[in-house]
Amino acid sequence: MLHVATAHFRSPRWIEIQTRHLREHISAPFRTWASIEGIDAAEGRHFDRVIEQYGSHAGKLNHLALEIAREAAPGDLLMFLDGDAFPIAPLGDFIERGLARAPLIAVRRAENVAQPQPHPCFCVTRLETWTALGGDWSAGPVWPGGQGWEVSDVGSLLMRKLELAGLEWIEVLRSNRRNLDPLYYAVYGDVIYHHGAGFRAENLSATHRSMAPGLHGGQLPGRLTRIRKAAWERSTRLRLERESERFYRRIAAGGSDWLSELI
Amino acid sequence: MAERMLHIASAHGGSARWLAIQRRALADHIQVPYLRWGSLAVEGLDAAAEFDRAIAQKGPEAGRLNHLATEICHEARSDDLLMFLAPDALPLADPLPVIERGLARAPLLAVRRTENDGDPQPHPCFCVSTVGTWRELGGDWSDGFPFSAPGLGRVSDLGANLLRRLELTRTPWVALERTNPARHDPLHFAVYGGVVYFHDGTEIGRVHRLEAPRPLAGGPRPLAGALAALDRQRLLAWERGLLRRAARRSEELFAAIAAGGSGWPALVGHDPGTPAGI
Repeated sequence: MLHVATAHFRSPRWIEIQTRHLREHISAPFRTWASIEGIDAAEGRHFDRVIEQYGSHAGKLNHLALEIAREAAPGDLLMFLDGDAFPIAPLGDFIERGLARAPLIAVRRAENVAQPQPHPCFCVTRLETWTALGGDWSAGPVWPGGQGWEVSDVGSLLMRKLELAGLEWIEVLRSNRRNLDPLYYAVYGDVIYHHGAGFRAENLSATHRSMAPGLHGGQLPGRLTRIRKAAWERSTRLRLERESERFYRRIAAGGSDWLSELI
Repeated sequence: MAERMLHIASAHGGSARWLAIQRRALADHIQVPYLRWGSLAVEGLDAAAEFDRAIAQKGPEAGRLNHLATEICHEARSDDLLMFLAPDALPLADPLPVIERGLARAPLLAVRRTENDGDPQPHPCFCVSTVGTWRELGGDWSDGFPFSAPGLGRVSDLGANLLRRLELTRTPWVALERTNPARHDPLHFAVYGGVVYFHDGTEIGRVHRLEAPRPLAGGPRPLAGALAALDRQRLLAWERGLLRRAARRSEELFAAIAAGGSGWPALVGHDPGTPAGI
């Protein structure tokens, strides 16, 4: 059995899209486990199990895995899938080939200032591997970030646990042939779409912040630089929201034409 | 065979203000061999000089604690003791007798902040287990698993997933409850089990929220928007007032604690003769 763990937050907008694509592209028996905090309980009808939970994204994923492990067989597959992520091609062979090479496969968002860690937008392993590893999506361990200081993010503790256990993992990298954005609207390994600007997009990503034009240093006084930076961030957020909405509408309309903008 | 080690995990993060106080309290009250594992990200301070094992880390508290435990579990023996201790928590007396009594009854001993609107879960301000138990349990301080707060409905918080793991594995645990009176605050400046002080002077807890001003919104439609805006302002003013009072009291107590000596626990109503309650 394949157990799909997904956390939707405050908005039901991706639920029907995600579950439809799961049915289309997974031929083996699978069960969906979802968190739908802040969403009408009636939306739970799209999933096999709805798990009541609150709090951080990493904590919710850890909790979902815990509840799945309670019910599933050790050899069952466990897939983490972000609420705004879904398969766009058959997944069976892809997962089988990956797990034949390493015990865990996951997206690595190398395009997000060279992040080195597995990302929970798409990750597959066996339940027994997750349990033996003490799998944990928390941030904690750090690496040198693009801005010159150390950073951490969701998935970094999982990376550390894999290192300490001496386990390899398969990195599923961005495979867009066309890029509407350097981070969002991503296709990974030609099999997974991740919208990216899905649920908690109040803050700009490190990738987008690093694109701020000429705002660092220079001749301008500090206050003026801060005002310009805030204005740039506001306008960038608005532009990203508009583009996100446009592309969401294309996806929600159905079919696969929208993929032609990406691959 | 070597004596078992006590590994103490404290994630100090971006503040060094409790570092020396905690170090001194541990030296004063812990008689067994111990190693301090911690993180500290303060400009000009060398974390490696402050801890036996300095771990570079960032992010929310639960992840930093899970990370410290991961590093400890990688190095330590299964029968070694693992203690989580909040940066602003410190022993008031030798905690080993309480730890030994607790671990004779169950594999994990932790503070439970029942006074925080009935919190049911273990709290990482003070928690002790063996490294072996933590490994087998897959210990995890993150939130997620829900519980009922009588005054506020369904919530989750730090330690909730650990509570769920304990439940699912039918692992009993010993709860250390508050033993000093809530003289200054219903949640802050607490003594647990008669042996551990937890300052925690700046958080607005669920128990505080029970006293928040009741919303006026819900009136007739033309007024609903204005009432909602007024509610937000009233809540903000209430939160500011609460934090201002808490900060003042926190500073007074911190100054007394930092000055050293044995008199300050009396300021929070601690009676050294109080039984641990376990």
